[in-house]
Amino acid sequence: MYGDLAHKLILEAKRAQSLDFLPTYPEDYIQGIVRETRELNKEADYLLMTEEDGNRVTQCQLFVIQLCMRRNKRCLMAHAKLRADKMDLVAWDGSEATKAMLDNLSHQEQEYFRKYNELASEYKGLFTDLDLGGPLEPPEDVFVDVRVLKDAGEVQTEYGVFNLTKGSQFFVRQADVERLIQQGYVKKL
Amino acid sequence: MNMNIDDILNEFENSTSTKSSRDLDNQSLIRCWVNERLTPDLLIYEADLVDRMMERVRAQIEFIELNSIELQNEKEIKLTLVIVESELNRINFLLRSYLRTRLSKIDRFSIFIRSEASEVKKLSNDEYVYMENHLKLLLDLYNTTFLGKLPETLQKIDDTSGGLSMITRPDLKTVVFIRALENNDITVDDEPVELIKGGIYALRYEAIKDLFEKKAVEII
Repeated sequence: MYGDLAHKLILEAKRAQSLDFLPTYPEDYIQGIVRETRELNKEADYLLMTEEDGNRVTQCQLFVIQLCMRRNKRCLMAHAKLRADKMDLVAWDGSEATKAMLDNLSHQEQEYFRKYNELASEYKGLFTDLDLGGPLEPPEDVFVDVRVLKDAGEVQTEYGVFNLTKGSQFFVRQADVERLIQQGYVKKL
Repeated sequence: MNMNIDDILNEFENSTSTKSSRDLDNQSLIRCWVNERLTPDLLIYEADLVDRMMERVRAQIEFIELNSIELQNEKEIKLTLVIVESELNRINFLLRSYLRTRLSKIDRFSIFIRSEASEVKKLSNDEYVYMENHLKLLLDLYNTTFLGKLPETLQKIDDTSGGLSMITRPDLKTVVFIRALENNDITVDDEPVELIKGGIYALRYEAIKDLFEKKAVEII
């Protein structure tokens, strides 16, 4: 039935909303909805050509077709925007995009993601002293306890050098390890 | 003798005024940040304030770098460093959150902002460039994935026909909490409301928007 695919797409988007990663791009749904919309449009054109003045049945038919087409478009837009927003978030918080995430993107989305990454870094570059991609939680302590989860070699800070070996613990300046926390090398205790 | 006292007074005034201008800036940054986060629409970009704060941030970073290299073992400077650093972290956070909040509003309302000259004026140049570029990227994405294949009548993204606007606008009917800074009488939905100085009210943003811009109320 008309709109069924769009409904499925929206359910998909709804599901993706609560996930912290993006599910596979539903190419089939998207293509299906586009095809359905084009068919509806042809039907509408045909009805318009054959329409007799004041035929209320045809008018009603046209109206329903128009609504279906618009609804399809809305669903497509909402789904695409949701995925774009999720990609934007990844671009901002500076965490590395995983291979799994990139694989789930469509070709066009990968292109968008790459370009948006550039755009976001450009804006971040205007305020290099601020680290705009940093945490949006208010800061608490200057120094924190961290545990090292993965070997990461030596890290040079203004308070000396420390060697990150798995399992060790350090009392360090939070600003120095912010990146390492985001990349999953160390964990705040 | 007279000269001397004047000099001392001048010096005192100068030193206090520089100190207070810094405190004032800190306070107004907090104010701007709170405002930006609590209002539904985009506010005017505080260019001068941000520039001044950025300069101080740079000065503080320099201070930390200079002092941390040499004086490793002196306790006193270490304490100062930690204090400067806490302050730096906080200011950093305020600025970061302020700028990011603005960007998120810009992203959400970009089509609306572009359509109104008065809204565009609220952006900084960099924000404007960002908005235009981001919108272009999004449009490319939509067009290549599905929009370009839809019937031509459906290809617009700022369509308002069919009884449904596609443009996301700020919801000015959002309820905000305010504190009245002056006595004022306003009308909300044909009902008179009396704002008494110091009182706290929950009202729709559109009802107090003018007063807020005139700084007769503050949003809390």
